Amino acid sequence: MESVSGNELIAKSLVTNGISYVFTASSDRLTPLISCLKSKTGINVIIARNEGAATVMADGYIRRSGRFSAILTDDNGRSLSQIYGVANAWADKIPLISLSICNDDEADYNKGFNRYKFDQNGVFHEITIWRSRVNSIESLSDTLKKGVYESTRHKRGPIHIDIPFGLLDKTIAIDNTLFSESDFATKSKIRSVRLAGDELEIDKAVSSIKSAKKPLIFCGGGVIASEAHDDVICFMEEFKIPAATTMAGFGTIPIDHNYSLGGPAYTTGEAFHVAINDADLVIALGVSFCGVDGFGLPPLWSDKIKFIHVDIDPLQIGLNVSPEISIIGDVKTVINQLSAKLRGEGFISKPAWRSWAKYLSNLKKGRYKRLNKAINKDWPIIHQGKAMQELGKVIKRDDLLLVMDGGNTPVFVAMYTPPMGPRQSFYPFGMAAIGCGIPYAIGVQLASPGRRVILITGDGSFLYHVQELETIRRLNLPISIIIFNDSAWNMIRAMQYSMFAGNIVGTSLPDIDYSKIAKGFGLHATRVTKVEDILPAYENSIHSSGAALIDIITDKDNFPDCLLSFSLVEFDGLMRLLNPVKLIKSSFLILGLGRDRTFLLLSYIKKALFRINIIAKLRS
Amino acid sequence: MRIITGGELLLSVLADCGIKQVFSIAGEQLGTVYDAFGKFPEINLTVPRSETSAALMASGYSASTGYASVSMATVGAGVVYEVAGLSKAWFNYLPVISIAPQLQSWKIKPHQENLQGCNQDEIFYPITKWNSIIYSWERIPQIVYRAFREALQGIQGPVHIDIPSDVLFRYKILTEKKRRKIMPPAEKTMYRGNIKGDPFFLKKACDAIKESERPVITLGQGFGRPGRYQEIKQDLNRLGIPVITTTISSGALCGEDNCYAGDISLFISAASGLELLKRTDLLLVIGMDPYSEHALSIIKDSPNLKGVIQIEIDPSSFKDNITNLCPVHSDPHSSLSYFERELKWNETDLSTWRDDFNKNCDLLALELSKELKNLDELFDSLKDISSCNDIFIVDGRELSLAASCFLRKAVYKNLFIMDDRDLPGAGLPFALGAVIGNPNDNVVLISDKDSLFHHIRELQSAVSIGLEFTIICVDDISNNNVADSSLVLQSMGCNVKEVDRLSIKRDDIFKTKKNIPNAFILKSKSNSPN
Repeated sequence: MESVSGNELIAKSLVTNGISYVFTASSDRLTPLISCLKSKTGINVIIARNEGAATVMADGYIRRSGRFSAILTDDNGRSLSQIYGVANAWADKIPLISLSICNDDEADYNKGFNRYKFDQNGVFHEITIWRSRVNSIESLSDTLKKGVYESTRHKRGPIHIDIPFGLLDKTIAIDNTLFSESDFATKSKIRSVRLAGDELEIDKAVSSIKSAKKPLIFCGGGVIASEAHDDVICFMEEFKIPAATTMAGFGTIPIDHNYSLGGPAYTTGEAFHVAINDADLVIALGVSFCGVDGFGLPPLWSDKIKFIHVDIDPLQIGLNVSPEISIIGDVKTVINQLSAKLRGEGFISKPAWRSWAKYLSNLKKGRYKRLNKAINKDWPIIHQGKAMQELGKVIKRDDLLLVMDGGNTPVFVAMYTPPMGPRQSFYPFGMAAIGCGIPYAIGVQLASPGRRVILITGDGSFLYHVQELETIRRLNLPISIIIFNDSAWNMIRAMQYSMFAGNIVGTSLPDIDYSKIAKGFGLHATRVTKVEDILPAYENSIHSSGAALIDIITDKDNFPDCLLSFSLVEFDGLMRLLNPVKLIKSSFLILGLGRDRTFLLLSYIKKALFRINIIAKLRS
Repeated sequence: MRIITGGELLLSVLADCGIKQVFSIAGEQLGTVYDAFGKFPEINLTVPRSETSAALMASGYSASTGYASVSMATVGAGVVYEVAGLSKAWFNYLPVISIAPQLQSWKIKPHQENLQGCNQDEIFYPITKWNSIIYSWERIPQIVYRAFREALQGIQGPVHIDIPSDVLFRYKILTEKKRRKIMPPAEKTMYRGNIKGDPFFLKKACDAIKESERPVITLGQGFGRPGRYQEIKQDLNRLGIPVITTTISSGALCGEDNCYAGDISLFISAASGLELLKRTDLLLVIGMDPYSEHALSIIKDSPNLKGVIQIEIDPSSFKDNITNLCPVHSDPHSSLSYFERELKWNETDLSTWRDDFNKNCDLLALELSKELKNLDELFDSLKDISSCNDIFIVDGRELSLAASCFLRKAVYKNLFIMDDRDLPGAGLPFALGAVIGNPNDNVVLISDKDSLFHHIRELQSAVSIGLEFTIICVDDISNNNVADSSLVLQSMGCNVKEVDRLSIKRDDIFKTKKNIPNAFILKSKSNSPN
């Protein structure tokens, strides 16, 4: 038996539960705990300038490494600063361990006088999958263990634990043998639960696949969580089935793969739209059918599709689509079960599937050809797509670690992305929160020692966490920040342009030289205004020793065409409420953007949206 | 007769309620609201660089002007950024109206994996006085009026409203008849008179004060920076009882108020401070939980203390676990002016006790100042040059303590001390809110480097809008920060001057450069990373 303080017990419990990184921001009350973590455990403590940023860093670390990390903050406002970081983790199902100090007194629900007695745990209620308040020092290590366990249960997600300040100094006698490495979380990786699918359902799925004429695989974040991407690629190659990915599954199938439809979800353009309208069977692997993927429902998706839905969480089944066959299990295990069964029955593939895959592949090639032609025109101001295209020339695909941030910027990145694998691109798809790029890049970099992280961000989103440039410099992290500076909150500006007759309010930003700001923080920085300067700037940045920033002036009048698909879901039921006079004026404004831009938009409407008979569906 | 969208109706109700300032970042679901801004020139829209700052600026605006203000953020991602900022308004009892769009009403509660969807109203529940969702176009005015009532009446605080995007996008015909029905005049939707109090309890309180020889007043949030601040200040000075400010009212009184004894932090930091507090025989507690402050909870067992008189605008907040001689349910101005009228004190009646108490407070301040030796020069110079047009905002743990000690005798319009327990680094956006709300006053932000860096992006907003104010950044107590603050502030567009010691003239500090922030970096120790 050994007598330890609350601080030491927390440190021991964190190590036992496989947490190797703790992110925090400086706070006097946390100093003893932080020094305890540093001196008595091998945990790396990263101090950010702000609690919110620290939370996003922890999230980024988990996304890249597949290992646990925790965020630790003081109470009140410091704890609430975590909210947006935790919300991102919740929406994207990331097992983030959030710990806060709290008031020793229980919350006083009479909302009167002492506002410090508020219900701190309650604020986290809607954005965590489990939360608790430690009541005594005896229950501290059990609560932490339970929290870590809950974070990986079924659908993963963040958990939050409040620890009363008074417990930190209390002492307790513990049995050291109990603090050995736990079963479900090891220092190496968050272990996936390899749940096998029900044989009966597998049989049904196999016969359904065999009878399909135009099957499609749809990979979600579950494929990454289960580390099943290689198995899925083997499956699609063996049976010649084309595959698309959700936003969260970005990277599971490299875009240059013959059977890949291209970038994630609707950024793929016509290949995706045609696939989700003409397919008769969709094998959905670890997909939550969320809004950004069109819910798996009309208007984007055909209502004639049969779904085989594979997910580890029974609560996901039937949430938006009603699958013909549902399999509860781990994606990696189930996909191997399916291929073994198909192979066992001597099934190879169907010639029709090959031509179906080829047809979609041609559509993908057609779109990339069109997009590349458009960006290589002689634009007076740099096109975002061109800036992306140049990036592919300076970095090898296996070396690429790409963090995206912003409104239109991640859409441009996804449209013009160079090919890469899973856990190489990072963006909070569920919340689509702008401004988290810098802390994500820090978290991702810490999870990949020695490798360079590229952050592509917009000008609006860049400043959200600009203070963390100090953290980048202090830790001397090799991060290249690329800003697409179009002097606007451009996703919203695009909406004001195209739906409110160009009534631009509150979405213009001044022309700011962000390279100057980066230099102020002690980073190497440069501003690029000409296409020919992009490549040398990238090369300098990538070969520099530490962090570097490139501020690229881009054209605010470029809108990603695939936003039109997104709008159909986002503004579902709202389009008919818009002022028709303003809509007509808006269409004239769009025509005024020039022949090339209009041509791109019209081809998108013709090739992608016309397929789903937009007018009839809007009318209905 | 007009055809108007929900967004326009919302702005027209806000304009009717007297809102002049909205802090917001645009979002797709806010489309119709932004589209309608042009029709309301009386409402100024300020776009900060993060939603957290929008709520903090609104807090600064409310605190420094006394008016309610509006913070708007878009669904999901915007709203979750806003939470931390709005918590400042919650901890500081400030009437900030937070408005956010939600997804379509047929897609919420529960959410089905919608993009950016979450039950955002429930996130706000613990840190708002009241919140609601507006499901119908016609109820926009009714619920917004109610939000204002909830925020401003009783103990003030932030409120939150969610409006589904279909309600904001829907357009309807607003006839004069319909307008009269759904939109009563704003002045009729809220009680604006005094709460005079029960004469029985007022008299009882008055008798207790008459009998008391050593009364002390402690001010809480109910002193009401938003509201009738100046009137109450005059009442306190006329009454002549020594006044102690607490964490929340810190800086409400200044050196020219003869009743002002000092801040509660003086009494906490030295044992003699508690002894001094224990000498009091009657505690008049205005708008606060008497024992929320540690120092006050200690004196409740003092043998000298005969009782407590609690003056409170919200009857549900009377405490029964104290020697509450009489709970006075009234607004502070009404009860204080009643006491003044009834007591008919001469200037000399309490002057001996007050002078003695204040003298002892001077000694406490002197004692504390020895511990804060490195900051005395800064605050002494500020004390000498400050005027009644100055608004000071102090951010940072050590600086806050120093400000309540050294600026005790300074003259200023307002001093806001950012409580370290609330939200670190709130000072900069809070100051910007104060600058926007008080264009004719001089706003000075005194912050340590660590606190300033939390929301340093907002310097860019200040430069873009052309806001003129002064930043004094103390660069010697920051933790583990390798950035050169002069370079960073300069790169953000501030006019920066490095000073070794701050013995400055008023003209240096306030008349340096127009329409951009003027920053003074005070470096007294090396700030190598530890």
